[in-house]
Amino acid sequence: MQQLSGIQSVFFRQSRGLRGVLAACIAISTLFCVSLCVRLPAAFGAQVDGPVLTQWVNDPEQVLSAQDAAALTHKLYTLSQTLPGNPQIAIALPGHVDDIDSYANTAFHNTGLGRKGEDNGVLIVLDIPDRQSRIEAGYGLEGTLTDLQSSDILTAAQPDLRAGHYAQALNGIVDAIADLVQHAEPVDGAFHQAVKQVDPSTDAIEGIVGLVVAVGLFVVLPIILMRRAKKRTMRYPGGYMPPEARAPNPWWDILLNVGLNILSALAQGGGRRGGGGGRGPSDPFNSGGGDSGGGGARGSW
Amino acid sequence: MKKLLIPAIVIVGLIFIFGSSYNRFMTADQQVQEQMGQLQNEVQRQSDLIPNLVNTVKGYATHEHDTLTDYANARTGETALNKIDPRTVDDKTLQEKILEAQTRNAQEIKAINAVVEQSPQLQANQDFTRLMVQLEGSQNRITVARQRLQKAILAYNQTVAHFPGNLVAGILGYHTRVYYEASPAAQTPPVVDFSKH
Repeated sequence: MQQLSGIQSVFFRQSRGLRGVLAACIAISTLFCVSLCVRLPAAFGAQVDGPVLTQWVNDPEQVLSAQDAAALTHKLYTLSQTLPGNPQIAIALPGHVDDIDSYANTAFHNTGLGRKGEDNGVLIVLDIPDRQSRIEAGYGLEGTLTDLQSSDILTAAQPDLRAGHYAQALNGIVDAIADLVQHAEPVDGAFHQAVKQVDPSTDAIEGIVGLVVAVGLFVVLPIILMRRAKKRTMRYPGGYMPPEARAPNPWWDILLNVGLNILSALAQGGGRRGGGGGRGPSDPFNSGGGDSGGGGARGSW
Repeated sequence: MKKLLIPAIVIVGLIFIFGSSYNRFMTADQQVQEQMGQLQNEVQRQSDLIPNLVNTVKGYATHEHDTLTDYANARTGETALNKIDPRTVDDKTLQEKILEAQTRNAQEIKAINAVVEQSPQLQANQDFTRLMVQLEGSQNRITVARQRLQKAILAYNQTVAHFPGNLVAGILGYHTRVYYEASPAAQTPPVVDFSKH
């Protein structure tokens, strides 16, 4: 009876301590979760202002015939696979826009044309109602496709545009850009002035992974450890524990290390999305996070 | 041992919150610095372009000839904007310098535009049209850089002012930044578009 009350007393003392540990863990994880929850809606609810391109040829007004649009789509996809550096050239015919420069830059930025870090995208915009055109070059192609060259290309397309031969004009513009890229000197990626933007989707993914790992580390793991400790206390009353029972399980170390490493990586603002050109004709358009800073030229006809 | 466990966990938690917030402040701060640098570069690029334009249009200028010469002289010996390290000067001083450069560029472009309006024969000058294309590109880049700087400052201020960042921002030495506001005098006038003539 005396032995039983001794066990109860040890267990009671230990469980009080463990309850304290659990309370502290829950408090920390709650604080962490609250801070993540504050950030998550902003990350998920972050609405993209302005246009986002979803195809190689974006023609909501259906200015181009289906055949012309398909042929241009195929050409742009093929160029993205065959040209040096695999640049991504896209076309937008949005109808009337208030400011074609702003539209082109916003659409480019929101879509993320070209590969992230290489910023090797080009956007061709035709505002047919206002007879305006623009070529927006990604940061990485500003040296290959200068403002002057863009301007010359648009000037060369003026006769076709004036005649209303939009497909022909676009083919000419695309061919001229492709020719410049084909014959360009290779550029060192380190010189690209990629402007890194905070990616809300990455933020959200980081948040979710962080939440799961934090709950695992600060709530689930302590509960498991407490249960194990409770079992040991019941199995070895009086505080003595044989060495083989005390030997640490290597899996716990591995688990703890993995968890802490993930948390550490998240705290440092880890991975960013990669990306590339199209994956294939069935899923031809897949932007890769490239950006532009207003390079290119505007024209009218 | 158990007595130390709870404070240890609390300390680890606090370190994590501090560390995580610090990293976010750093990232947001770097974005602002990067965008500020980009704006400096673009304004300087425009400043570098204008003397060439002035030289090209001088021959066509009648009334504005002296004004253009004065502007050109005023530029002599000035420090290039992109040589200023944003880390060595405070935001306000740097913004004032950028504004100063933008205001002067705007005044010069106005004077150039005045010459263009009076001299239609400039359209035939290949050098001039090519410089105007570059000037237009430069203006567009400045607009983009300014918008992105404002966004970067907004994101930074939100990181610093919102929970849980606001709990530790002051302790870590991060404070809200002032927005870059271009005065009406610094708003660059639109470049004359020859393709519409």
